[in-house]
Amino acid sequence: MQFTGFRDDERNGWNARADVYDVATAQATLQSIPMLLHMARLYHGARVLDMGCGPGYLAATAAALGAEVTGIDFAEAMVAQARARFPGLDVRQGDAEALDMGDASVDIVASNIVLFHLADPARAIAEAARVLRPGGRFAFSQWVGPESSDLYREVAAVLAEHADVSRLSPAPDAYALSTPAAARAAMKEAGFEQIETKAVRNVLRAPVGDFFAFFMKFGVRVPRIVEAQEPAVQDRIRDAINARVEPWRSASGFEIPMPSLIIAGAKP
Amino acid sequence: MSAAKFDRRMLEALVCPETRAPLRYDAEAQELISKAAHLAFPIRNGIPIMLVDEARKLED
Repeated sequence: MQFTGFRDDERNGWNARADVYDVATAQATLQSIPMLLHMARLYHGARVLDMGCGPGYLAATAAALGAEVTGIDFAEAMVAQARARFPGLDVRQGDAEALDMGDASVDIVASNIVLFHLADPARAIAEAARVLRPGGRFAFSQWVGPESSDLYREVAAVLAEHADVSRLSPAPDAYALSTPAAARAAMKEAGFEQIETKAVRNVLRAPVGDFFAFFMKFGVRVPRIVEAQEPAVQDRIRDAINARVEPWRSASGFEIPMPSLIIAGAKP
Repeated sequence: MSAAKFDRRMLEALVCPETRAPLRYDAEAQELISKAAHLAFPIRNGIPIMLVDEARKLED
């Protein structure tokens, strides 16, 4: 299956969210970056590819630590954000599934919360392996699935009860690489060795108010499912999600655990 | 502006995402030409757009 409709949805969705990344998506994704760079064994002078760089935080962090970084993203609005935020950063519009870089041309490939946005994550892992030099390392992160994530357990329960996912383009399994076993298998398949996995305890921080409205800006996949439903169903989903996140509300807003998994390996 | 902003050194690291062959920089058209793939990748505001589905198809 090509998942072309899904691919277009993701690209359009991230273009639309580039301006609100800081107040939404960044409120959980950036917490994975220190462990990701640690497991990538970042070093001063390393040639690094940030695959799916969004507004550039991982790329800029690696650059601040002395790496020579290139960032690619398939959403043009994200590339523009990264350029505006971090002038001088080498960022361009590119496809993780068909990289515009030569074989064995980088020391490290890093990708933060990206692979489940792609139509063919296995192809992106193979591309990472191709552009790495022998001994180079690939590190990526994924959200942990509903079985071990407070946020996604609640969201999944609401969608299972109210949403009809057949109303939108078929999508690959969002959690296909979200367990250590599955992620290891995918890395091994692409030829990686010395594979390591580690959990990071990300906490989604949302402001006081309508959590559902916040969450519709946070990602793309769930909002696409919600938007495809009848208005009355959308209202039920809003009410159900807001009711379910109550336990994590305080006077200063919401803090909901949504752990990530970091996977890293070396190219032989 | 776009012509000045595109860094020629960057070209050395770039390859065609489809054929992985080197690219030729057309400064006038602001495009990166992949002869083997018959594709021209646009450079907009100094940013190469390295997506096959956004590239201009070249005649033989």
